[in-house]
Amino acid sequence: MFFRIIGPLLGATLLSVSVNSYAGSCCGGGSGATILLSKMANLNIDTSVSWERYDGYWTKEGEWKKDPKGSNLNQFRFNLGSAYRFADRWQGSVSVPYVMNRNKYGSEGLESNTHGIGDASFNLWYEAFDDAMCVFKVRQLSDLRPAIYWGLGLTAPTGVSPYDDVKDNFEITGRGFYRLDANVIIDKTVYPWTGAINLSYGMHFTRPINRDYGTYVEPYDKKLGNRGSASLSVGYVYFTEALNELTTTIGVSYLREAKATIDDKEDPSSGMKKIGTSLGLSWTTPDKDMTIKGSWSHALKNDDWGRNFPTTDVISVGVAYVLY
Amino acid sequence: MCFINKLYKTGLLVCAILVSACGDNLLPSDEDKRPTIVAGTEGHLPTQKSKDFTLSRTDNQDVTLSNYLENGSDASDAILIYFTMWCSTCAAHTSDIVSTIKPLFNNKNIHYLVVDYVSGSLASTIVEKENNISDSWGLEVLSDFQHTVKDQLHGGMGVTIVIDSDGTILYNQDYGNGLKVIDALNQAVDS
Repeated sequence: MFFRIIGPLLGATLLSVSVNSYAGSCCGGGSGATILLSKMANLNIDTSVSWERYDGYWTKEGEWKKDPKGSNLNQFRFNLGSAYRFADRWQGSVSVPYVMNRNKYGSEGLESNTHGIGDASFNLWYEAFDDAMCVFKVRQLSDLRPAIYWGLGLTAPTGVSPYDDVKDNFEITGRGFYRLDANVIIDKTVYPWTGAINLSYGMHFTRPINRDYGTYVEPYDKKLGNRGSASLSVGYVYFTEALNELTTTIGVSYLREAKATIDDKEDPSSGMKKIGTSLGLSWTTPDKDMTIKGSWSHALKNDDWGRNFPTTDVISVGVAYVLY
Repeated sequence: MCFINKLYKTGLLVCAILVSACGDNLLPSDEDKRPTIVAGTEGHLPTQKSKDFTLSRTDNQDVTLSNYLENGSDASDAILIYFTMWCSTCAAHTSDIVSTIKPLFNNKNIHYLVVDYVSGSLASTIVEKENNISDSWGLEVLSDFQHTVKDQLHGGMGVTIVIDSDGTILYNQDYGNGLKVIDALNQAVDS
């Protein structure tokens, strides 16, 4: 019985650390993180604060370059999300970030402070299992079966994009495009170890554009490239005597976005790639109704670890409260 | 739980209402909303004439737009202005200008001006030019630390402007995939 209760709760705790979505904060865009409920939970409220610090970028050839000397480029995000179970195997979630851009170039250069709602994400998840798949000991082959979540995600352009009435890119808090993602999470825990693989493929929808940075232009159609991502994480769970849980997780992620098209012609300056690493730490109360979590996502400033994308560090701290 | 369900659904409804009030991106328009303007008047939009300006170049020389126009001391067929903030997108656009656009107009006299509007001084622009732009690319890097030209031409990250030899603006918007920039340059050199 202990396993049946603790297992899914722990699974959710671990997933909340390992399933970090890509912030998509290039040029201001920010989107929420994936939120998952454990098998026994009906509802949760998830809040977090993220600080993304920009530190250089990769050219489209993969060469890493520094930002202008003295630059201090930051994005802060307050993420508010919630997940709701509406059937034994089905759950949905919504996450909306509030984005604050704080940028300064050099000691005497351009300075900009802007804020607004970022792009919201909506997710629908199907759990391909009925009982907890977490085990404390492998006694038979079936104990190795992982928990598999199939998901469909929609990112809605609720943020401020370059196609709104903005003066420049510093005001941007979103990318301006709808995106539909197919997701799968494969998660397995054999205490105290746990591992998760998260695969995602997303398709942006074509949209008309009649304004660039506040100036109306001859209308054209644009489509951002489709994107694929994969992440792998491994964690270790430590139980205190009072059954508090302390979980550490390390992960690596890969993201690639194909080139955009403008009026069906390829945009050679678009497309991107990024490889990142992450470290997570979470603490869950004995009655499993609250988790406090923190994570650090780091991109290595080496050539060929990214293409056409900013290099950033993201530090997040958050609290999730679960109702059963 | 029933109360929580109601509260949750109410919360979702409030969120939906708040989100639906956001920007033009949720229901993007393909309507052409460009204002009607009188061609030849001074301004920043296509068909308007650009106001003259002078900016410092990274070789410490002043560059004045009118000198690059017909009857100027260094008259050219066209001028391309690209606003940079030394980011990945800007690097990709600059690379495309050098590798795609410049070869198409090898036999034409076009000035390619890269305008740095984020560095706070000419000295800073010189440093960024050394870090990001090779001398062999044939681009002139200008410092607009007072935002004179940025404000005058409504510049910003990736904004590209094509001006023909009589000072008429033919293109002023995001670099995009570069094809409209090429069209504008062709129009400039043919005129």
